[in-house]
Amino acid sequence: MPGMPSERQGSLDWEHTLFLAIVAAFLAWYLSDATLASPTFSNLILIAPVGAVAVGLLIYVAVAEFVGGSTDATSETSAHATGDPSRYRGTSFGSIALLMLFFALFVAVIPYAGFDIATFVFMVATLWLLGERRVIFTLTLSLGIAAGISVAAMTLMTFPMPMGIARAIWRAF
Amino acid sequence: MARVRNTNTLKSRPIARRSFLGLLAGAASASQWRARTALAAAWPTDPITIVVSTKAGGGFDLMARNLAPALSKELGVPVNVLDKEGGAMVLGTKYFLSQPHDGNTLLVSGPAPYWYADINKFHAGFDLKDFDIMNIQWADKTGVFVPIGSKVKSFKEIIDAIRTRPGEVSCGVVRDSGEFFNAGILMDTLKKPLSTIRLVTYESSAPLRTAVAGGQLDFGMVSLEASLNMLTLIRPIALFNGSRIPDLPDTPTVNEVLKDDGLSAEFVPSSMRAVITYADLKDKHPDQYERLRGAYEKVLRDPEFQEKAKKAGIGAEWIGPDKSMAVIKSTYAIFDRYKSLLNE
Amino acid sequence: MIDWQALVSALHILQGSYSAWLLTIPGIALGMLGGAIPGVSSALILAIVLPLTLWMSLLSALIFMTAIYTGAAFGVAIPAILMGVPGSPAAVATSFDGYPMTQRGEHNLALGLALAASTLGHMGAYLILFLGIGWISHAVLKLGPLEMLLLMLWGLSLIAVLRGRYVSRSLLSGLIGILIATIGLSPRDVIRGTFDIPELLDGVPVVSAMIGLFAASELFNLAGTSYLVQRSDLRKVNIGEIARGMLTALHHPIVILRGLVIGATIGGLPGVGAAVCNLVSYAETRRGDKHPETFGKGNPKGVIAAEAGNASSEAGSMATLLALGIPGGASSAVMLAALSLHDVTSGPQFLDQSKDIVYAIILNNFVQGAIMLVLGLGLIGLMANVIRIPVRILIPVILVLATFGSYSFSGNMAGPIAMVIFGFVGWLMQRHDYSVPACVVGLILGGKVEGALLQTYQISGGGQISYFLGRPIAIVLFLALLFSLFSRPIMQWWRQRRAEAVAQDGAVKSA
Repeated sequence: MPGMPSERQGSLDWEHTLFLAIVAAFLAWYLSDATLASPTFSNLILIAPVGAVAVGLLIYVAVAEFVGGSTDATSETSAHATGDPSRYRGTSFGSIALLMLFFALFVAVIPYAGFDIATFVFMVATLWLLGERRVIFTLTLSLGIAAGISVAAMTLMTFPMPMGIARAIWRAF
Repeated sequence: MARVRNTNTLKSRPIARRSFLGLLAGAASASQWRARTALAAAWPTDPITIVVSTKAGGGFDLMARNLAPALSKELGVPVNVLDKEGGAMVLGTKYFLSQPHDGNTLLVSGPAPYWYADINKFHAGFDLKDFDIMNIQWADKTGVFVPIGSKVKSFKEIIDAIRTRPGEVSCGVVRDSGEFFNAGILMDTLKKPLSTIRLVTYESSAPLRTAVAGGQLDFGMVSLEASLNMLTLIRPIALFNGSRIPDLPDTPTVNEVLKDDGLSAEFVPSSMRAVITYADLKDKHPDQYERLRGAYEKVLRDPEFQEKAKKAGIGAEWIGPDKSMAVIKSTYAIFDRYKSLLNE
Repeated sequence: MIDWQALVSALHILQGSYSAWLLTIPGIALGMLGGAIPGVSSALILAIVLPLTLWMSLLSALIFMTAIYTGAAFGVAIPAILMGVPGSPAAVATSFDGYPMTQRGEHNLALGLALAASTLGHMGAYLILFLGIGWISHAVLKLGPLEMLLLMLWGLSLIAVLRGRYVSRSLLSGLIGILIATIGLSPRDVIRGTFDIPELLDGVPVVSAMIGLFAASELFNLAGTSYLVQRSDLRKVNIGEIARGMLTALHHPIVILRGLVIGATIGGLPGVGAAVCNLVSYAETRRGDKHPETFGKGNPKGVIAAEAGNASSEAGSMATLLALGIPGGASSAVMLAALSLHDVTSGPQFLDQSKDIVYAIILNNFVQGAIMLVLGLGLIGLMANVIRIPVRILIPVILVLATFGSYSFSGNMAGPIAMVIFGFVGWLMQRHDYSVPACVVGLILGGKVEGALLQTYQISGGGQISYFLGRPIAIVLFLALLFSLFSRPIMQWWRQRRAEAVAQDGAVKSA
């Protein structure tokens, strides 16, 4: 598999180790939280067996990672899991990280700035990040999407969505 | 009305001639105008929202949606229904509390039994004293149902079966419902541990009724009036209530059945579907409160509405704020005695 | 089985109600467009139009609502195929093979397959409904918690086969999905893993988490690429290819039939519904195929199976709604509200007294299938242009729409927040070959499985075997499940052993 970070025999993959640590932490936290909440059979009827098998699999994967032989790698891979590696060639880790950061910030500011303003700013920032440099196009598209979303939210939604200025403008008309 | 229209044309004509920037400024003056007429005209001027703390299609939602058009006619403004389900009614109720306490928002929720668990078990962050229970419009009873083809003729047979065949009789309830408590109270009265029956818990009443109708359970305990549309599939054999009800004159109360054994118990109502407002509304906006209460009472006292509600299979009783709160407090007193059931 | 008198009367009603017919087309269009936005569910669209139905006759209201339902069931397939982001759990299995087809430049074909399978599934399931609505609704009643559990395990068995490079990692991600699905209030009212946040009492918002997992694992990685389809010669909308896809679907009648029987029967089970139908239909088709390993990599039969199972579940849920008055899911619950607003107490007597209206709805739904074919062709012709939009524009637009959709689904910020968190998780998983689809299947079914498992335990008096032995349907389902899981590996092992034996024989002889 050229271009994919999956050739792990021999050297230790720190990123995967970190991922395994996160999974281990989740399992430890959730299984103990569920048990502490109520250590009864009816509460743990599904969680206990599923958790036990999950822990077993985690240990297996971890051992395979540290010792080396990832024995159960199938020769055939599903398209969903890998896709076509060439598609990711142009992708730098930095731009993916920034994209995720932008997205997280977008969602984080919605309750404060409103859907309308957050959408507009997120659109402009992301378009620029991904390489769109036409200023008029960027602004028009961002404004259009923000306006469309806002109008849909105010006229169709059965419950109110946080809005910055859209509601005031809407009322004015 | 003529005066209002006049003001409108006077104000809007100059706006039409303004530029775009001027329009934004005009928006400010328009809202001032709205505020002024709001003061002049009688409340309400804006649409009223009824928040429902369950999903669309449930008994609570049906009650609110049937009430909305009638209330709208009475108040002269649109009345919208907003379903905010989730977290055993916690999310909708908390959302209602977060709205301005001005009478423009009402709540339809279940102060008993659901809030009892919310307050005492789920640390919901609200309390009974935050609310004014305007009216328990639909206090359903617990019905005991068997499948239509069941050999069981009476509730007495079920009690006997519970006694003679411990651990074999299955009974379905919705978790944390009034029925769940009533099952616990019944077993307590029979001096048997709850584990004597196979208690099967369902998340809502629809799958439970399906299970009873399909003969999956020996019997099911589920809100009675909301089940009356299914009488060709399920058969009521008893009800948990002080007296029989007119719709089912031949169905005995559980206490009638228990009397033969010299037993009797105080049971809790099933779902209480209530129209609720804020505790501080009466003091802060007494006019609004009275207007709402008066309009709502008038709707429920209207024979036409009563007939409509009966057709749709929805409760439409008026007992008023004082009696409603008293009923809920006495119900909570029974819950307090059986609080341990919440942790079964 | 068929009440001819009611049928004639139904034809008369339909003939006289122009408004009902006029509402069918906008209803389907509305449903399709809404369904195509990830996170916007048919239940939400129905709730939005519910107040409008007050001004319609009962028949018009029900027809308008079923038209929306019909349109939305197909609409969700479009983003699932074009972008690998299913709009609802009902289209998860559609993305398994639909998206790989798009990546290969076969988006036209895949959309055509989905449209034809949807239409046929929809019409076929309504035909079953027409022939025996009473029978279907009573069949549903015969399924208790044990049977439901077995059906869900059938869908859940997919996590073992939706694998990436490593079987162990895929299984692990499926199990983690199940565990995440159990966060929140348990079926026995125990609060688990909520950090005391009331928004989490109902658990992690599954639809938002699902969109996050899928969208992120694909979209984030697309940053820096130019187009969804790499080869520019394939990057076009081709009606001929769409038509070819529709014809291809006709070549697999068994797959469609299987899907629609599954949808019509288990689609109406309260709390099971469309989310399970498409998975079971997909799993069953994959198992029955000669080349199961080609599934998940763009096998057209996967798309057909998923869409037939999904589209036919509407008829199943209408059966329980109209015949029993029991809503099978969120969408039919809203329709129940519409019935009540028209002063109709739905339930068994509604079917007895208003069979003409029920027939009218069913007949209209046949026509809806035909209308959907035409409207759907137009819509996919339009939507397929997505592949011609540069990825740098597509990514922010989809993220914004999905955020909007997930807010509208949960009604609060819990949806969008879950989308961000699971977006990151999905990206990490994808990076390390942990199967995202397996995790999503666990996430969708985990909570339902726990409920059914607990009820089975309770109803059987603590798992007594006598309960199990007294339920013939469960035994049949159980054996079928065992067969479906183990027949192939056992056959393979057997064949291998025989081959070895022959080889040994040969070796012995030659020696």
